[in-house]
Amino acid sequence: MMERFRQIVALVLGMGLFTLLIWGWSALPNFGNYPGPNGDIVNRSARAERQVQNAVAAVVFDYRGFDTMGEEFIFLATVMGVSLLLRKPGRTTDEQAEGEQVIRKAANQPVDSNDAARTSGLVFVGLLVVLGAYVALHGHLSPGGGFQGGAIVAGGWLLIYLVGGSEMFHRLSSVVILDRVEALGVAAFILCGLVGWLLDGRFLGNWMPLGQAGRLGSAGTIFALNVLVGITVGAGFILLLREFIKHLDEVAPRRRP
Amino acid sequence: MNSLTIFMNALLVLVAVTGLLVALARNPRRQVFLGSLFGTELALLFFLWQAPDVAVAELAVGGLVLPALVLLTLARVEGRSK
Repeated sequence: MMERFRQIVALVLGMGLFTLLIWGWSALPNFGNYPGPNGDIVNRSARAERQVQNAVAAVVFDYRGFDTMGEEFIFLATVMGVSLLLRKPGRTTDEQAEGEQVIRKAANQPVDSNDAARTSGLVFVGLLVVLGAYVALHGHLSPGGGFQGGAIVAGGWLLIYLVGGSEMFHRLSSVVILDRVEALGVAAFILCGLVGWLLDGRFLGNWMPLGQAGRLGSAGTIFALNVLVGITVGAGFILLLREFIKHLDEVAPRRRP
Repeated sequence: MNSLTIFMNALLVLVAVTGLLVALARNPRRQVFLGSLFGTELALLFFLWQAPDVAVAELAVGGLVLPALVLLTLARVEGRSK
């Protein structure tokens, strides 16, 4: 009886949701039909105003830089929250010792990934880290930017785990350094905004020399903020991965994904 | 309708089918890999719809970092249950 009732309720709600979806979909603008003026305005004026080639970067790091700062805070809060959850209380005061303990434990664990995975991983670690740095550094010139670059660097960094196991991964991902790098990245973002307030009259104003569009050293603070966000996101993601891998070692020292 | 439009429409169907497969997968490990495939397809979709910035972000996060975190969690959970 209850089962039947639940099925009916699910059916009615599902059909209602489906009707809403169809209704919303029917009112969507046609493909390629862009109604708003803002995108066209930015496309027309961003290059001349900010010496930037990627209009998306101009919006994200300059015109709406404040939103990006909020996203930085969300990212920082997420990484902090995960770290707080996964770091054991009582040991957080001496993270160095904690790290060494994990490394010692992990050193006893046999590396059972195969040769092909290790060799190809070794090749791709360097390539991915360089690609990530490139994407972050060229955010004002080509698609990508700080967030994308940082995520690619962290993805490459993860291959260290595949190549050398958790021992090598933990040795190369010092929690002391990563914590500070991430925090300093966010702090520098805010500082850059405050300097813009002083020199340009508005928070996150583009106060650095703009240079010439198309050059690496152009677009002023868009370039600088891209690099800062890349550093923050890269360190944050590596920190996340590190916490997860460390937890795996502590519970099941012999298991590997 | 040119060949690119056909390809884009086919990709839309593929994304819908993969999304359904992710939702229907019962084995978590299989779900992770399907989810990674879903992220990669979404990245291709964003790229073809002229949003390369979003495509790179989706490729790195949806195709790489998120599956890695879920896999690590799964390994941890399975290690505890044994």
